Amino acid sequence: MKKHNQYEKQMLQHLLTQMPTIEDTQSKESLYHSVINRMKEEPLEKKVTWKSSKLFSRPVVMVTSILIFMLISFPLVWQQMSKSDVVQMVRYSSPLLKEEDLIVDSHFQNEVSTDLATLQKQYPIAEQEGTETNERFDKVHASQPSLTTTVREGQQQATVGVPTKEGDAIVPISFVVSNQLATIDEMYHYIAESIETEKLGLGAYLLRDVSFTREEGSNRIVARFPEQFLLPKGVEQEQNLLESLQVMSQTSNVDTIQLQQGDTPGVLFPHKGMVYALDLNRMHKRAYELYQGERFFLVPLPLEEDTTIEEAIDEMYQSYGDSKAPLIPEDVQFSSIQSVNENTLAFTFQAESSITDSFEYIAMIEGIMMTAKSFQYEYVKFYKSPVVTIGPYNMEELIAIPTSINPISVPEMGER
Amino acid sequence: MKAVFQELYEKYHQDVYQFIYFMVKNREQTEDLVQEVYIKIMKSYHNFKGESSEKTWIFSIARHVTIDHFRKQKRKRDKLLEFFDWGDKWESIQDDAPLPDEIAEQKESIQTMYRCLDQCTVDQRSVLILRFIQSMSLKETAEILNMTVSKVKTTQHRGLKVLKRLMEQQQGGESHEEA
Repeated sequence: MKKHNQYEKQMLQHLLTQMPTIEDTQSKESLYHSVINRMKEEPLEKKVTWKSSKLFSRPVVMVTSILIFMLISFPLVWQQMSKSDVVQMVRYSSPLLKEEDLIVDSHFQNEVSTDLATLQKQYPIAEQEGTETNERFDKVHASQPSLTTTVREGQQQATVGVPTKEGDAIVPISFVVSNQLATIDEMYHYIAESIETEKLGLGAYLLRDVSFTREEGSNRIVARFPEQFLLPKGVEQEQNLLESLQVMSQTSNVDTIQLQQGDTPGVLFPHKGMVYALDLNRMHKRAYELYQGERFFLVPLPLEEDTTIEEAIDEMYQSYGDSKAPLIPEDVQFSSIQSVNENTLAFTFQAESSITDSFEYIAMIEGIMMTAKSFQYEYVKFYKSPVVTIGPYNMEELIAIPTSINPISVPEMGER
Repeated sequence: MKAVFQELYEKYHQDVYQFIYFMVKNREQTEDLVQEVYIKIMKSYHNFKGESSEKTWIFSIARHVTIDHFRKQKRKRDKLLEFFDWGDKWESIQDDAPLPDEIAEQKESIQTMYRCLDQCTVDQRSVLILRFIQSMSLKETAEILNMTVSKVKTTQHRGLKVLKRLMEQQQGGESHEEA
């Protein structure tokens, strides 16, 4: 929406660095004595309050817990029973998924496998020389006209998170297959066995030794870490591992990941502590940027929960890191971004916005859609677009937001 | 115990004090919270495994202590507001707090920025203080705040945007008053 003024940003940073030192007025000795005195006092205070409250509250807590448990578990058990009947009827039991069984369904499946030269003509690089973004749209652009796809009826998707080579972000990667070809457990098994992230230009897959099982009839996946699983020591790697799990929220109908090490519930992380489950149901707002490995990927930028959609779109004018590029070029501006209803978000381009039917703008539209998706929108509508079509998208029609991000095809997974 | 205290005091006291002060902006509360930080450090120092640096470990304790303080304050404030129905008056009481001498001696833009920092979220403020007032790296900041580096970057960017808007508003208000 708005252009950024680098000088002002630097000026603000400079002012912050100019803040004076605020010194403590209490002496080292008096501080030490205060600390020691408080350390002596604290356990006593706690003992008194805990005892009295414990004695008073124990029966109340017990009765309340039983009531809450009954209230929660009864409808859940009922729901599970009715769901499991349906699942048993439709679930297809197949042997372990083989490579040739994996089919990636993308808008461009046929085109990708047929003729790259045709694609190069169909989706040429936008000719605006000299910008950093365009320099990055090099060898891989033509073979990769889309960064999203949609899971259709009779299909399912599994999404895993893989860190970038720099380890500064987690890239969600989606696999979409027919329901009849594999169960979700088989897909995860296949992914763990065969994913070759180096060929994708990404860092190592952190969950390679973790097995995933979907609890039948529920929206829960159990992630089983082997007993000897080497947990990362650094905070950043630990966060990347947990974020790789979080990314699985984009898998069809999954809202909880239960963690266990061996057969024991929970995994004890060195920094985060014991984690029993990750609730994926919470709304996570995101904007997106473009990452270049051996191909392009949409990479989420986590946002604070109070971020507005306008602010999220504003984030997409910049990128954070050497291998990343902003998804919205500065010469594309919106005069308004408005909710039409709770499902639809409308964008109106400013008259002078320059857009062409090329990969750069397909990526932009898809990044915008996935950002809107993280704000719970299902459709987008664009007004005053300078072009009628951008890749597969008719800019004059209501566009359904794709379900899957960074779909990956079999050859990219490497030979087994 | 005293030896541990002395060592940590020499290495980190000023920085920890400064961080907490800029978060809570009150000397008495800062002194109280700093004591709490030392208590927590000394109670768990033997458990420190060196999986993060000592510095980021100590700062993450300082951050937790500060956040606990904000939560307690919020609970107290909510109770008071409920009881007395003060409405917006609470905000004006907060805004009118006098500037500390160190800030009052500075140029006006720094004084304005000091006040504007309050309007950022706790996360934004933490990032801005650690990154620019404490000169910490993105990685150190991420470790202390238990965020990813990219989250630190976006929070920093959004924090600076909030400051920019507020500084411009203040400037506009001042020039309007002058006119």
